[in-house]
Amino acid sequence: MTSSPIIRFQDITKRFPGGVTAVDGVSLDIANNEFFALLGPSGCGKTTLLRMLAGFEMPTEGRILLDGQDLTRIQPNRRPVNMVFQSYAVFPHMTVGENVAYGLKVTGVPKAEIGPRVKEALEMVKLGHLADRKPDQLSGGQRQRVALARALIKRPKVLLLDEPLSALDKKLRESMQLELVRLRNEVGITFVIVTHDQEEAMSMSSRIGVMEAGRITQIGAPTEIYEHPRSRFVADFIGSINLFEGRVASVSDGVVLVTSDEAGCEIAVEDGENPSVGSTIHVGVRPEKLTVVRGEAAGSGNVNRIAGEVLEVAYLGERSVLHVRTRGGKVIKVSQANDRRTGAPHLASGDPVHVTWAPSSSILLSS
Amino acid sequence: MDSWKNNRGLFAILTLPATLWLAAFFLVPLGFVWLISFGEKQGIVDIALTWTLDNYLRALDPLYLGILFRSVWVAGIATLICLVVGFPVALAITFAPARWKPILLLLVILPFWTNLLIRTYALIAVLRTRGFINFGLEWLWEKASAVIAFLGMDPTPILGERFQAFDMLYNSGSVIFGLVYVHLPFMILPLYAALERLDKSYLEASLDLGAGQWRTLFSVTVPLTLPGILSGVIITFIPALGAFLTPDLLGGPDSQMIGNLIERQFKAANDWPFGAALSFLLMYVTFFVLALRAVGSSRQARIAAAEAE
Amino acid sequence: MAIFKTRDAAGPLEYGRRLSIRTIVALTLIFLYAPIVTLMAFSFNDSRRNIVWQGFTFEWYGRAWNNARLFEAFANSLLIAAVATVLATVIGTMLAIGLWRFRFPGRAVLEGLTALPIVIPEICMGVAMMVFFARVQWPTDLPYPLNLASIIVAHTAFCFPFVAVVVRARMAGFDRSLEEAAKDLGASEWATYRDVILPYLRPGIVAGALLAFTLSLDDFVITFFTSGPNTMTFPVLVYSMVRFSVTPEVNAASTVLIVLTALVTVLAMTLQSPTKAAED
Repeated sequence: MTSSPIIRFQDITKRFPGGVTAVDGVSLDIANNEFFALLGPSGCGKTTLLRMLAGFEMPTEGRILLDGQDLTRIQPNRRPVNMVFQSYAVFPHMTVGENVAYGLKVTGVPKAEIGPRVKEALEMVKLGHLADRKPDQLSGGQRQRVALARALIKRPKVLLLDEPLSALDKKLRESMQLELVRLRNEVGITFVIVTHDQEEAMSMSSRIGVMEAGRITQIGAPTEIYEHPRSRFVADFIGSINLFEGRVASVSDGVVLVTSDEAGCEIAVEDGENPSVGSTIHVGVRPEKLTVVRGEAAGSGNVNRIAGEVLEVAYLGERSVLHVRTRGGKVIKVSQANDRRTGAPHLASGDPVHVTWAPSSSILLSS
Repeated sequence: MDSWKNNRGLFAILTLPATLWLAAFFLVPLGFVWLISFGEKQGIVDIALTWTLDNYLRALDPLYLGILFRSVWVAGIATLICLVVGFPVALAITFAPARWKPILLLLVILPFWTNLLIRTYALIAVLRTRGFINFGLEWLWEKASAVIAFLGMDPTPILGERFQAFDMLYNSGSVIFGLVYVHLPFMILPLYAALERLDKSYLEASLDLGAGQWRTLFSVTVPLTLPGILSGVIITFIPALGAFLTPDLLGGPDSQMIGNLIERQFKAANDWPFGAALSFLLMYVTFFVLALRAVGSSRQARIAAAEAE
Repeated sequence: MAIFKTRDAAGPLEYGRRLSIRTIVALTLIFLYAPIVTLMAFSFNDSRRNIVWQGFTFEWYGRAWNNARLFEAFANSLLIAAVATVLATVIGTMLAIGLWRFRFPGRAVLEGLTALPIVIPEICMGVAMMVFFARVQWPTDLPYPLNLASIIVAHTAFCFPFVAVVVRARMAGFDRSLEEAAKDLGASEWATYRDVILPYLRPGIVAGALLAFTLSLDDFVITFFTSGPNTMTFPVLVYSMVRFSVTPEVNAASTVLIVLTALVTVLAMTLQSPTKAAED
């Protein structure tokens, strides 16, 4: 981070009466103009963190700084932060236009100025023709755009979005993903979203903060999070992963050899890590990095090679996920793109196969 | 939902008792009253049905009209006070921590279940000249007197020779006080129900967009809970309007309400036709208020339906 | 880690934690309860006049117990409430089920009419009952307890709509697929009611019955117009006592009634609580 961050959480803790610690000592910097995603399973504290930024929860400990200003005790209506709620919260008793104008009206913006700005905001979300409709006449996606226009018209320094795509169907979700990125680029402010859907996070954001049990376990760009997870939790939460437990046999020339009874083979890892020999370790391999070939393996050699039998094939259209049972009894997942329409017969349940992968595809995971 | 024809026997068993009871012991009695309102007294007991409007016209006599207006006025003020006091209480209960809610609700409902007579009687002990409030004030007066004397001054010019008890009973004020006392729980419950059902995100959205608390209250909370507020107002105003016991026990000769007037016609004054007419006037006002409310809500529904087309 | 266990600052919507709101709630509760509490406290006051506390005594309870008129009136009230409750509960519950179950011409009218007794001012109904019994020349010299019949009839008439409302509310939450599942498994109409619908309704029926009981027990206005010197009920007797001569016996008797009503109300509320419903 070269410039100073626009949002800084300093040691934020939130304890609810009854003993629940929702957020546990989180320190986080979010840069200006980022599209930042807080990702995690339900109950991990991401929504609480967002609400503290918006001002609807007060932290038990810690400070929140926005552009250098201490926001912690400031009421939500005085923060230069606006939020798009999960339910959109578009006021049902006002028209679309009145909804969008609301934030300007209540802060005393002169009437003459409100009209054109409302028009502009609605144009930006492509709802210009619906200004006089009531919310119950709009679809869910349209209502979301009203909520967006309503928030963006205030020109906040940061826009918060709570599970923005969860209520939309698949097609709408895809178009909305693009829409949100486009909007952010057009408006040029920081977006922070909260989501439990890793696809959502990865497709839209420039950086992801993965949360678990009130703490941030890893922050990074989507590729970093996906290809270099630093814990089993992150590896498993984002996408699928095959995990093998084993012991470090040797470390030389950047290659770590791990003996694994679970895998029934030796695993070579080229991960840039340097674990101590003899220590217990986990190795993860993403399903799409595995190659599956029919029949027994040619030649000898027992590195990164697992023999097994196809248990079942899940055909998903664009790809197939094969569940392979290894000789050791473990079931691993292999993902193959269905890149040909016709041709050689696909693998089916019961076929003997062997699975291989490159050492650079192995991920060393400690915890 | 089935058609009744599919199971006429069951349908009859289920609905007939209620219908018959309603008809025989509610509609018929009301019908009698309606008929009598067009009658004339003939001697002490008999009433002749002459289809006269005299009884209704008598109600327009300034003497009686005054009582009618005062009833509306008193009931209105009491309802307003209930609304102003009840709203913050309903708000507090709605936003209280979950384990407090049932307790608070119970605390608010319990007085409602206590006998109306007993509650009103308890108020007398509190409000009267030799009652608790005055007793407390007298105690305060004596203490203040002692303090002033202690400071070397003469209390008489400041506080007077003797404690003057406040005449809090037997006037319109005490009737209003009593009506508020009796009907406050009636107002709190529908307000609470409406607030509870409100999606809190609306309030948060309003705050998020820059509105202050009061602005949010009037621009978002009240419009969205308006049906509940109207319910509360109606179920407070109508019983208050027809109140009999409260003005009877707490009111003086010039704070009589419709209820007292009606009661007198049927007991002491023995003028049943007039009482019947007054009774029905009260019912017409009730229906009018209810009709207004029904029209209001159906109008809202029709507007929404029209806009959707 | 903070040394003291301090609470977080109140969130913007935590109205229950604001001092202004708390003050209003506290004052309101004091306002609602103080008169009742003082009335109850002074039923134990060893003094004829109700103002100054002079000692603790049960004398007034004893006197109330021995006051034949008071006792009889109380007994009348209980008997009337008991019978009216049974009648109102049966009629009201059946009506609620009927309205839920069947479509029929005039359904909306019936619904509207059954709402009337709830909505019209009590005095109108009281007056109507009085006129009715006079007009049909209801016999006035029946032996006890039949002479209470007129009051019971009137009470039932204004109580059963309340029962119907409560039961209907409960009915609205009924999952019809339960009924369909029973039928699918072979249950007859009657068996479905007995084994599926009525057990589901039980909390609502009980709540409705308790509501009817307290409404009848506490009723003044309608009873005032339908009772006579031989058919005194408790509230009506207390009324005349309050009007003419107030003694702490009234306090004592009132306290008993308050405690009774409170017990019944708490019972009703716990029976209607969500946890109980979940058990069902």
